[in-house]
Amino acid sequence: MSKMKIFNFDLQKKTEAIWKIEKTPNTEVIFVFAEEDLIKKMEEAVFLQAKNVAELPGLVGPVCLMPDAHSGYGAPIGTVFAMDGTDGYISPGAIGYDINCGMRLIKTNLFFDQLKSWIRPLINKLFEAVPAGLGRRGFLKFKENDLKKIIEGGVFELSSWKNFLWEKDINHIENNGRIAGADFFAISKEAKERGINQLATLGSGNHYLEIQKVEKIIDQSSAEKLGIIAENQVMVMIHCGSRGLGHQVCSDYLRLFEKKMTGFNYRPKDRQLACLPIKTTEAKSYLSAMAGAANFAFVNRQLITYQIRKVFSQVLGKKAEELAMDLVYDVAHNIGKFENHQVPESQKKGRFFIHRKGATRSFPNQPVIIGGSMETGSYLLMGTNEALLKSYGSTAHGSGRTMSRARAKKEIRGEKLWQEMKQKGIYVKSASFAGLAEEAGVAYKNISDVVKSINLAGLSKPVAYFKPIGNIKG
Amino acid sequence: MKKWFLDENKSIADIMVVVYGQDKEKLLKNSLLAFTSIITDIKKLKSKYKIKIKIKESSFPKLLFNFVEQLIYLKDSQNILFKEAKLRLLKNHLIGQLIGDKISLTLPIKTDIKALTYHSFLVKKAKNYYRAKLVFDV
Repeated sequence: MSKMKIFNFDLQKKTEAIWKIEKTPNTEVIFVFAEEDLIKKMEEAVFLQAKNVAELPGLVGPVCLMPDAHSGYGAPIGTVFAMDGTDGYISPGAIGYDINCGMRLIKTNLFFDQLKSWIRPLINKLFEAVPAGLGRRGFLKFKENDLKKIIEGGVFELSSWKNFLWEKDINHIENNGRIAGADFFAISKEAKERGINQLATLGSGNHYLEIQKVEKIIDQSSAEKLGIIAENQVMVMIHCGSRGLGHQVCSDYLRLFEKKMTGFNYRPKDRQLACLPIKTTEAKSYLSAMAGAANFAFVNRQLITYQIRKVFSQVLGKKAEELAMDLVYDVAHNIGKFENHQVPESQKKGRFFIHRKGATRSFPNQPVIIGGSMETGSYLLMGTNEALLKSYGSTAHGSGRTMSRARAKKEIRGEKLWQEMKQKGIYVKSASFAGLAEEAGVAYKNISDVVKSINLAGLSKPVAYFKPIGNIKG
Repeated sequence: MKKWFLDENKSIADIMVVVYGQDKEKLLKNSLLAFTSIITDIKKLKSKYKIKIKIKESSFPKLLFNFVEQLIYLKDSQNILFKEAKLRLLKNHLIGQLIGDKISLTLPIKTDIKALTYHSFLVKKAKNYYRAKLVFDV
């Protein structure tokens, strides 16, 4: 069996894209689902942070690192682990600040040749209709009671309002757009105040709205089932989450967990990994707040979808229904959920609490959406049975950064990048050129390398590859 | 004395800053400067709005953390950024006034700060100054 030593960690090769760091008296096994080249691109902090996660109490089995893993705070972005559903611990920091940050894919029956001359007006109109960046508010004014309904009921609550939700949309969203157990009163006043005006907005950072064309169909049969019929078909992709509300929920509960942890024997090496037993009142309250923030994020992406359908309809002079703007799927990549699983390399089965931070659920017959950098493209994949056995039904979520935001801004001029992208046929509208520079393709790993690794590891199977033709960035 | 600087390579996904202050009050004020300067060109902000602030904590690091979290909360809930602060610190009880401007559509935005993390969070007293390390989720 081949071995690799990286930053004092010994990795054993199990298959081409599955590597294992053995269990120690203090740490659980760590699986790294990536080919050697990608592992070598990971920073030392990824392994150190994964080690801290592998020391958490209540783990039922291995900690999984995805091929797009990069250093975060507490747990690396691209981490999955399972806690015992009764005696395990919950770590808000290992779910992440942007609760239910996720991807949504909408198809159309349009083809690139038909749409070529409309990209610019579409992107310009979408930029007005879907606010991006700091300080811009959504198109609706919500009252506190509306917010309560959304937080507790998720996307379903929109069915009685205008045309925000097509009946069939709900079947194409993870958990049908509602995580059960949400409680409005578990969320602080500050979180609600941060979020209430941000519904139907993209936000900033790596969040985007993109018009794409199908560049390559890899699995024709699965693609057809998902409504992707041929190359050059036009798609729309959204990447965003629960905005300030989700961030504040995470901040509030991290502070609370840290304070309450003093009553327990365990102290994590990184304060960002503060955790409490699932049984505690504080952990239960966090789960109710996290579910509420996740529902808020599903609704945010649904309201953005409403705006996208409206803009396409206005610009192209056809109803969104006539343009077949159906939802392909909506999936979270920062979330914690109770799920039934078998522990990898073990016969142990049970109801576990799965932490997915920068990782996507990958169940059989479930679409998986992996967004790349705005220059390179994105993939649609299908979940697998193998993922259930190897990674608690999880896979990667994106490209994974290789360059810090600060360095990217120093090395890349946003205006020049905008010009270069235009020459490549990608029309971009961005809230700021500095923000654009942060998200340049060179700041990320190659998305195709990430997809190759998860395909080789069996965590999900590629269906289609999309290339951007228009992009809105916060 | 340098007020703050950006640590470019330590944090891949986020932004790390090191802030200095001759005393605790100055450390708080310079943290505000770092916060606002990461988001925008601070010189473009006017001193149009004043907001009173009151924070009581059990330790100074907790107070600094809470202070920065307040800036994030006010940015999102009231759409306001601050360019200066008048602060008075008695033990770990802070009272003061934040002075700044609403975020307009013409204000150049470099990046948004969404949270202050505990990751690498540090407040240290050196011989004659204080130093804080802040990692922001952006």
